[in-house]
Amino acid sequence: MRAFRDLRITHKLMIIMMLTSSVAVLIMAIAMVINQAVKESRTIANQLETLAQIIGSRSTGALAFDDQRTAEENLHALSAKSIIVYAVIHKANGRIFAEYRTSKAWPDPVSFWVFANEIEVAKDIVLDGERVGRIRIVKLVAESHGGQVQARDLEAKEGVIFTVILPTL
Amino acid sequence: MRPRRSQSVFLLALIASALAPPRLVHDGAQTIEEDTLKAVYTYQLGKFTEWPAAKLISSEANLNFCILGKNPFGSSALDAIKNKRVQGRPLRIEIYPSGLLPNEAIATCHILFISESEKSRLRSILAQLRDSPVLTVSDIDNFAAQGGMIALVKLQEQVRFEINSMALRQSGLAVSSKLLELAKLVPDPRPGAPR
Repeated sequence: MRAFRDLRITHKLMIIMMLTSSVAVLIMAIAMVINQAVKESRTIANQLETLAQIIGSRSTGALAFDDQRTAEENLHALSAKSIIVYAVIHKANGRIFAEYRTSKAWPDPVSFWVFANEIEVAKDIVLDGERVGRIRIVKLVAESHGGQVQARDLEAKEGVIFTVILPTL
Repeated sequence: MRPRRSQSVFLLALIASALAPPRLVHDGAQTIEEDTLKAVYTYQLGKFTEWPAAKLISSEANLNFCILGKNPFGSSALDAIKNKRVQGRPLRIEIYPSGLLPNEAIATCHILFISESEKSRLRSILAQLRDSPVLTVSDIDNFAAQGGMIALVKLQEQVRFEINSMALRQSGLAVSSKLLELAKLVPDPRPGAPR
């Protein structure tokens, strides 16, 4: 603090201005990352909702005629998306009708600062205007590649932002 | 020698179980009476069927569930489908006596459940209905293979379907692929029927 006091007024002003602008850029960067994370979560949730809608609609026959095997086959189509870890179809009375769990290793929770490590959507399954069941799909935000848990696009975006910020400080 | 009490109880239980209506596994472990399940499934088939527009216009606002022959559905089975709607239309149940279906019924029925009692007349009933947009359903053996549209088949304590898609197509009806994927498809045996 004494060193700062002994500085010339022009240097003091320069340091204060630099600190102020750095803090402003940092806040802006954090806001951008948060905004990106929120957008990313919304996009993933929208994609999951569409998927839930498609699989739910395909399963109306299975629900109406109590064909558990077909419902399980429909859910199994989700195995093409490695990041979907769990999906379930409930009957209208709440009973579990068909379930899918990924056979791949479930990645450990990531201590990444995204708001949630997993995203879950649930949608009613409607047949001819009548609710016949409900589908729930759970997807991880992080994806497992060869045993390594990697935060996806978001981490890359964060890296880009901080690469841009650091030289300005 | 008088039968012992335990023997009598066993005998009574045996008679009661023989007289009780058959039950099928439904909704997991829950069981349901076979006739109720068949009635519910038959009505639900209507949700997966598309009738020609002319058929829907000609029969006012109801969707008519007709039963031909001895009514196989008990009161609880009929109660289970009472007040239901199919494609936004209230379901109306009509029962016709054994024999051929009256002409006016061919015009108004959307779903026709042909009772086991009509087994001997099945060929003439199906010939009468040929090319009419009436969804024929039955639990008579080999119903779909004899030219009927949808057969209800008991398989491992569950009711499954056999569908004669050619018979459906010839009558101008279409069923959803969601129903087709649950069913076993059987070829139409009638002479001249395309394969």
